[in-house]
Amino acid sequence: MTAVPPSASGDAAIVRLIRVNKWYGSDHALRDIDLDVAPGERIVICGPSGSGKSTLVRTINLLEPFQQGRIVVCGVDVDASAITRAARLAVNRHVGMVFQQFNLFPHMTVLQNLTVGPVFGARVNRSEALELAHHYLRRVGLTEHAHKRPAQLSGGQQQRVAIARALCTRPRLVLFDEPTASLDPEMVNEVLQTMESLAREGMTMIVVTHEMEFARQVADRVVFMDRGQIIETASPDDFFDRPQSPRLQLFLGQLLAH
Amino acid sequence: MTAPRIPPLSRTALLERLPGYVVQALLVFVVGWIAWRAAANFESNLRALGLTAGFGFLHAQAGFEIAQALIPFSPQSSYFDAIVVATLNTLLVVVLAAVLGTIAGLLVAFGRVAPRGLVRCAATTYVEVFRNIPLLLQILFWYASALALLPGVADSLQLGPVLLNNRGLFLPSLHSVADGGWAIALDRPHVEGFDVAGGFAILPELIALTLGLAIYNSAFLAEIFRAGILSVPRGQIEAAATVGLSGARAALLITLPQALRVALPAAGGQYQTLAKASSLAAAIGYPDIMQIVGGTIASQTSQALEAMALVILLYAAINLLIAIAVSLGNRHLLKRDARTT
Amino acid sequence: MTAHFVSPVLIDARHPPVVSVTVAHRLRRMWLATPAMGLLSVALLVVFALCGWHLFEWAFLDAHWRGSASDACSGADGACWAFVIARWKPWLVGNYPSGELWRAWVAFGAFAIFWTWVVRRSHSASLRQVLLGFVLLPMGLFALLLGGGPLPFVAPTLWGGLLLTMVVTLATFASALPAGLCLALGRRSRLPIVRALSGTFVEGMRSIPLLAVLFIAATLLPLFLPAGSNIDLFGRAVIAFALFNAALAAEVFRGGLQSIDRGQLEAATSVGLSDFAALRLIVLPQAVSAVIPALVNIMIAIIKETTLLSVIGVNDLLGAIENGAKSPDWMGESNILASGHVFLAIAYLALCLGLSRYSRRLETQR
Repeated sequence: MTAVPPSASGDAAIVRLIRVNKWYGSDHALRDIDLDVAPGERIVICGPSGSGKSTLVRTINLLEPFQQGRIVVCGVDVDASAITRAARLAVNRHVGMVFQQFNLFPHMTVLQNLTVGPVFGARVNRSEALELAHHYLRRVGLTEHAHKRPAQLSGGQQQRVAIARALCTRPRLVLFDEPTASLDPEMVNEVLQTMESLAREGMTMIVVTHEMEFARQVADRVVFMDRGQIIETASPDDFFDRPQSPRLQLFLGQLLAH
Repeated sequence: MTAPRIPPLSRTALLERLPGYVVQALLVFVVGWIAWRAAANFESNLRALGLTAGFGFLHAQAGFEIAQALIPFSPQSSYFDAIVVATLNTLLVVVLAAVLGTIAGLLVAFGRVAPRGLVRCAATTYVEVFRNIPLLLQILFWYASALALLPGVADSLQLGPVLLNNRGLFLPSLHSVADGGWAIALDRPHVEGFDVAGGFAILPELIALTLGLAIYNSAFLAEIFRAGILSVPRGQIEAAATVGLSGARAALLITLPQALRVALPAAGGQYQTLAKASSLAAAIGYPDIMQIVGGTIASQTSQALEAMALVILLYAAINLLIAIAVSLGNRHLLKRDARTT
Repeated sequence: MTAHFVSPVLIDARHPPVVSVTVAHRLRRMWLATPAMGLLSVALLVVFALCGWHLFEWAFLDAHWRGSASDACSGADGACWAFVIARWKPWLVGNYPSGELWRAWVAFGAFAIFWTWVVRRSHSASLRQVLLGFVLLPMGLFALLLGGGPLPFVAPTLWGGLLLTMVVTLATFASALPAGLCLALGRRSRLPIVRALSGTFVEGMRSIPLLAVLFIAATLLPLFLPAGSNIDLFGRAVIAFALFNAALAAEVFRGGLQSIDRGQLEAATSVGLSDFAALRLIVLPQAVSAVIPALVNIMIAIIKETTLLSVIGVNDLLGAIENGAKSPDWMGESNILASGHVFLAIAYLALCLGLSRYSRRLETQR
């Protein structure tokens, strides 16, 4: 059973952001964002804190509204003036998300966490949802924890469950918002490895992260953001070895020094 | 770049909001219709009973006595004056009970955080017992006991100028001598026939109400203060010990101020509860807002709606007063902290 | 050059040494931790001993146990338990007709069984069932006690005592909780009018005394209803209780809803759940679960509030005793009313303390 569509080339972009601007009150959080993501592409977004990376990613699945511009996600066209609940529902049926704080549902078992979206959201019938859930639990290597509560799992295990939960909705795109930032160092690797294997299968991913090794190995494109603006985009090698903009050079310098 | 105006909503967005508008319009209609029907019923029922409405009665003569009046009051005074007297009586019992309850609450709270032992056990028992026995029962108990223990007017106890019997505790009062000037005379209470003349009366109702309110709320306040005390980090006590402060002095100078800051909002809520609970005065006949306005005035004028509206207004105002006092206190505490940094 | 040390073996965990604490040591630690504590403890001990002895004397040694009128308790020295025992029927069931008393016993029994089930149920396994039970039980008890149809009708004016207290408590709890939840959700609504109405109601109810609401329900409510329609005093009292406590419940639920992390809603949205589905499946279960101890506290408060019914003339447990002490049979001796009060104190303590312990247990369980 393949749950992930194979990466295709020459298809229309899965995500298009067209002159997207977002304000938090009077704070201009996203400035003239233009971004196209092709199916099967792996994008890594990085930048200093407060640069708007998380905001950008959360705008793609309409968790955050935006005031100007237009986004097209998996065929759903949303203009700034037409951000409706229906649009948000439609987008989230195609887009999955993995959060920094995992956000697993603590009052449900792992299995229930995985099935609640498909069964009550996409209206998949229960047995199909269970099959899917078990498949992805196997994928992330946590089959024996199916009936445990999230509180009984380690941070790395919880995040892997979160990844499985996102996959159970059969998304065409998965967003990762700093997925390893809240993990103890010894657990970061297990999650990154899961994400790497996902990438190998051809899943379209947009990842906000500080893990530069991961970016180098997995990304097709790396995007640098600062103060709400996309400053530079390049392939990983060009990005890390031949940064063009002075801001990126400064950022990489600070990273390497640390 | 400055924030743009919110872009005009597209048709789809507006369509999505339509049900919301419809629901709200419906709600307004339903609530309005109910209010209109209720008012119509009220009017027709009043007419059928031959009663009047309006606040004109406030100027009329009250025609009744009030056993305890902090301002001069007689049956010739107006209903408005009666309301003032009642409000003052309520404020009196609320302040008395709040003060006593706070003192008791603090003591019991410190008892609750004492190391394991008889003191802690006693404090815990106090809290559990007085929190779980209904307030009305406690007030009735004190009232019955107070009345039962005290002698009748004829056998009044005389303690110096003070007279004690089951009509109350009578203290000598001061009043200026009739011919003006600064001369002040002491008005000693004395028995006259079946009653007591002169002096200022502390009613047994007031004593019972104050005791009941104070003890009941002290149990809750003790828990609130205890939470405040426990919220003070252990490091504070340890630091106090390193500079030579320990025991009671550390408690007073270090723990208490910080505990009170945390406890203030919750304690404020408890004082509001106390103020509302003082309305139980109506159960034992203490002349407070509920008893006088909600009871005597309402029945005497047959204008229950106006009377109860006044009752609601007065209690809501007292509630608000306490809330304002608490928020002022909070701000003062915060300012004091900011200044010392 | 500092020495380089490497531990050759790993040390297994061992048990701590056994320290025998003598009784004397324990006593000393308990009472004489500081001189002040020691003094206080001794003082308290003396006070307790004296009061305890007097109480024991009053309640047992000098008490009167038998009799059916006040002369049985002549000489106001000890407790008059005869008063309590002789009037068991009024304070248990009020004026419920003797022929139909079996319904009252069934009601008490049903409640006892339900309560035991609630306390013993496996934690959070069937929260929905418990809540459903709390709503259905009062309806069932009400139907049983009221009658009408196959069972002879017994007007609520005849109900009284513990039976009435129980029915009012359950009915209030069952109606205030759903109403409170709706109000709490209303306060968080997107629609401004819904927010305004809910907020005004809750804040308004919370700023006035319950006695005022009861007075209004008792005296004013009939004036606002169409002429001729009649809700009897019992019904009006229950309505007043339900509305007042709905506001309290609304505040409790509001706290619970606010305590749910925003990320939960975001995660629910990202797996494709609609707002309503997210509320039903994710937010509400967690919010309600989080405030269960506070809900039990509301029930305790309601039990205590039922005493106010006696002030407006409804014959609850407190009212039954107070009326009894004023009845011609039992007027006169001062220790009669006092005995009634002490008995009531013990009764309410038993009810409320038990619930309070349960609430504490729930709080520590999570």
